[in-house]
Amino acid sequence: MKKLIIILTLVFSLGFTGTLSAQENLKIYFLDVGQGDSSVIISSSGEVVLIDSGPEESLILNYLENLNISHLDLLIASHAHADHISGMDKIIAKYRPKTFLDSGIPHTTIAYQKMITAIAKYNLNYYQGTSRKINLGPLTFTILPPANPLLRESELNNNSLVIRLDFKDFSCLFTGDIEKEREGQLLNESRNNLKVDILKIAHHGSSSGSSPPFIKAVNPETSIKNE
Amino acid sequence: MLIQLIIDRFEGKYAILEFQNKNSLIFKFPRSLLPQGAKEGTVIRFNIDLDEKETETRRKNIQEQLDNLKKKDQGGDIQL
Repeated sequence: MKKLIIILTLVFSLGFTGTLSAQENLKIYFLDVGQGDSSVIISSSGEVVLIDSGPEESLILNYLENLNISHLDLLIASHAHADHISGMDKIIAKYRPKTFLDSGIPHTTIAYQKMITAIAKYNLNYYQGTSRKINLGPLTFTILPPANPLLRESELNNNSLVIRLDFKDFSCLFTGDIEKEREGQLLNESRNNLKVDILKIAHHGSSSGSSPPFIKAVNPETSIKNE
Repeated sequence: MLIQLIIDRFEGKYAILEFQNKNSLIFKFPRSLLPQGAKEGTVIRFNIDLDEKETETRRKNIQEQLDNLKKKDQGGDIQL
């Protein structure tokens, strides 16, 4: 692993207490939310990003509190399934992030409706996950958007946002819940953006994803799986 | 479709229900949504239908909300 400047933490219990003091480094917390995903990224200059909120409102709220998170600069939902967006409305109400980004693909569930209602209510800047970069302090997020046309097979999963994070010479790929169909497309569309140091394995390590050609292209030094 | 389930047990806020078909399926269901008097061993019935009208209503309402949000997005890279 590079001599970086990365603190990679799997948080296993609510009793965990993180600290944001004296940040010289990038911190990525891959939270143990069970079957779901949630990652907190804290930059060397204090910017805070949350990608997904996992399946349980109380769990993510406790994690954020235990990590002493005081604000969120950017909130991202990889896709609209409840194991990635539960409690988003409460997170928005409490932390008032300025900016929100998602795939732009709606869902009919209550969890999704609460989330977009909160975005409007608290007047967040809404951005759709099109092919674009987000520059936030020393962090650059490159959005690899859903396919065009959208994949219809396993629709919400396969049209998850895929997000590449770059910080200095370190990189990490967040893959939402994409499956083999989307992985195959990404190999053609974005091969150059796939090689990273850390891979957040897609779809909780389900057999529907992580095809060998995709893993070979990403070629991570470390992989993270939530299950 | 009417399906019949048996309450196997309670675990905290959830009832663990057993559905007997070719294979036995076990799943969790919120205890608070069960009728009063439900206890271990009680047989309960679910009547399950597609509500296409309500689905379409929700889809339209949510799409409208999302479209309003998307109007604010002017495209391009984002500098925060």
